[in-house]
Amino acid sequence: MEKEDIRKTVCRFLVDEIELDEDKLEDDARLKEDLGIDSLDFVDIVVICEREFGFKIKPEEMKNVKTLGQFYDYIGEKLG
Amino acid sequence: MSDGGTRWQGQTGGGSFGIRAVSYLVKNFGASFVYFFMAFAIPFYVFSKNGGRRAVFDFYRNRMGFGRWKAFRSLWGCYYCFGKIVVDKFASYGGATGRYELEMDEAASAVQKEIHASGDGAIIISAHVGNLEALGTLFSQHDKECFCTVYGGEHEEILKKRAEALKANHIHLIPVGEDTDYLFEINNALDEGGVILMMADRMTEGARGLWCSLFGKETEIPAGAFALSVKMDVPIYTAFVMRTGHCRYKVFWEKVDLQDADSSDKDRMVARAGVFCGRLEEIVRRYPLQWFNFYDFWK
Repeated sequence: MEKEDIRKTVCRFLVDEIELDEDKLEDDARLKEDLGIDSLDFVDIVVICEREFGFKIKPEEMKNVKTLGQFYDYIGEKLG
Repeated sequence: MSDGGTRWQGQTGGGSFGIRAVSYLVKNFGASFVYFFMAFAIPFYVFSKNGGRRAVFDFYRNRMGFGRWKAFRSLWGCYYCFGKIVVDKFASYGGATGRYELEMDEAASAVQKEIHASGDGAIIISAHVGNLEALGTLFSQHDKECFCTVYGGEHEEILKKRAEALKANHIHLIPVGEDTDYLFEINNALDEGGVILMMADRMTEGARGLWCSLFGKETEIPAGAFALSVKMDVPIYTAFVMRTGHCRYKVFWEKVDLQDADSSDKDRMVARAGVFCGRLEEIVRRYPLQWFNFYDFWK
């Protein structure tokens, strides 16, 4: 899957499921501080990643994922 | 106990010395001895925890609708009952009185069998009433792994004692902190068919909540357990374990069975929370002295 497809899929679920403002979804937006993603939103992200991309997020792998751009890269690596 | 604020502060009262002292006395002199002497310590707790005292009295007066005298007696009864349950817990930790004696009716037994027979994950929710830890006895008799979420900022001594006592019962503790690691642990546990045990009544700072009616007044309870059940599509059960005698408890166990697959996630969460609050109210009306939220729950 190309990075652009990953970006579109992630943006779609962030807007539809977590009701984030699309304009805020910049690559350098920080998940917690800028987008306000809290622990319950992470539940959505874990479930949706499994459903849309077919893999399970591991906590140790998410330690360094702070921004949306890093999250796209993480998904890309997992699918790569 | 909390210090009587409007949000749960996250630590059991008593301090390390108190915890060690109770542990030592129960181990060496038995639970009955400690029950007796504990009666003399109750005034200290009632009078030193001003906010807690007021909140508990107001609960009996305004929410339970008791008269002034009955509310006053219930306030003392509540603190004494809480003390006895703490002693029961330490007796159980030290093995001084063996396991808890649990009583269940047929419906609760059927729920227990259903949970243990199922290969799928499940969430069991409860509240700060009675003694949920006694439920661990039921998990010791089966291979089903149970994961209990606990507040990560709790006294180290309490967490250590709980972890030691519960390990043999197939119960593991998941400390809930500010990072999201605990969510991954919960997710993994549910995927592997484990049971998650969560308290669903106390709001902590920063938690997302759902508004529900409890004892005739709207209050906010944490959304976590209900969100997990809906998002991860796992069944949710309510469990209350109420004290009926020395280390003797009755288990009230029921599934939250709602046919609402077509509703929105938010509506499904609110409906589950409503069922939980209804059952919590019912159990507290039956065992009014076992309400252990020592702060203004409705603020």
